[in-house]
Amino acid sequence: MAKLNVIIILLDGLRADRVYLCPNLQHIAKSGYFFSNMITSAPYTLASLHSIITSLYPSKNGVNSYFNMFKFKKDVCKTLAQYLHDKGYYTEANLVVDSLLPSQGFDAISTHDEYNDNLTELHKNKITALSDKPFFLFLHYTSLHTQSIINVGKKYTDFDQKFFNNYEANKKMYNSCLDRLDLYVKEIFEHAKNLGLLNKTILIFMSDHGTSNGEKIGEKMYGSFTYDYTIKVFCLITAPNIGGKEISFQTRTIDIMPTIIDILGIEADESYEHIQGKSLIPLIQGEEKEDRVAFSETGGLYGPWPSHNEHNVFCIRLRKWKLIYNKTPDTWEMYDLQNDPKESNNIFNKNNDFALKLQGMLLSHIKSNDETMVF
Amino acid sequence: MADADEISVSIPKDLAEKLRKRAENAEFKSLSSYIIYILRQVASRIETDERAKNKIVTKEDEAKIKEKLRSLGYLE
Repeated sequence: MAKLNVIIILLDGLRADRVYLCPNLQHIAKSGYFFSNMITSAPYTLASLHSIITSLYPSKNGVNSYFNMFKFKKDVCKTLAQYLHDKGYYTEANLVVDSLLPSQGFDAISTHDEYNDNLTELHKNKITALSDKPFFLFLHYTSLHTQSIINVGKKYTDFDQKFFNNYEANKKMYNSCLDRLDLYVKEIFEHAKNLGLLNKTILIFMSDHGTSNGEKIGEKMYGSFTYDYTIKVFCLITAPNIGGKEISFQTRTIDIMPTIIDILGIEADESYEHIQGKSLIPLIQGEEKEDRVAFSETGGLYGPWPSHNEHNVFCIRLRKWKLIYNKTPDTWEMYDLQNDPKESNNIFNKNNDFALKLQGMLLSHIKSNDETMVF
Repeated sequence: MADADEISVSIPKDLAEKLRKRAENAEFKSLSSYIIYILRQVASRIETDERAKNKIVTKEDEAKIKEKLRSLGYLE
């Protein structure tokens, strides 16, 4: 059987709760597997991408803060690019900054100028150039990031009342950027279709983190906290001969890499750190019928507790509950997500058995990823 | 037999037997995978320790990181 190509289109910063405003993306979702309730391992691109490509949580793969950008544990972590490279694939990525992904396994990593390049044309050309050989292409689409930096990042601080008092206006501004993104999605999909790639390619559209619209003072964009508006993402997988299906069970971004190697029939390499995600195929096939426990972690560049050398905010998320540990001030937050989706009423009580159970699960997860972590 | 990207290293039989048992307990499919896994962990730890001994982030790395963060729009 011919090898299936793999294309991952990363829609940087797209909130899961705004996919409904992207009709082209929704249309494509009808012919693929749409994971509408996915949790990112880290709500900022650098750590999120290192986690996605290794299926390892940030504190496990070494890139667990902006300033640990060059601390990827290349000797013990195997990337998706390396798996595919070992199988004879040509592997390439186009990113806004080259260090957002580890170079391991990539034949080429190029960068684009987010302010001046036409990403639709650039990425279409990348796909055309590779269309006659087995390839893995990772394309980073950054228009939402660019607009967030211009409209929010450069204008406000993480505590600016002018921003946090204008949720509706912020939301409107963010939403107004989605048409352009959705048009990009349509053009890339049509281009792949016209090249005859859809019947020999696993094509994935996904986001790496959400973006604040001013929900919580202290976080003007993302990366400081682990609230739902930044950790909830989505993933749409299309592949030859599959029907459309929405899977609303809770899943994790670390599940994407094992799903790809599962579809391609590649065995996990047990001489490296063992993959922490799990293939999504059993959920697709209906053999598994439950939410997966998700963890997320971050450390802000700014915000109330900037942490440049390690993550200091962690959470465990179940479908209906979330427990957050803010390591720096050493505080806990617990939310009933079903009745309090905005996470505004902290119901953490250290004498509650369920809270204690979640606390144990979260601390054990943190410790298993970083044995040097001191509480 | 080792492929083109690998070399063979001899280890004492008694050590191999000890490791084989551990590999089975840890549900590794082969002794080779288990030994490579251990060596990777050791190599990684040595590198981490060496970096820590020097400094958490070298000045050169810090300058590069700041340049990348500037490109992303996070630093002025």
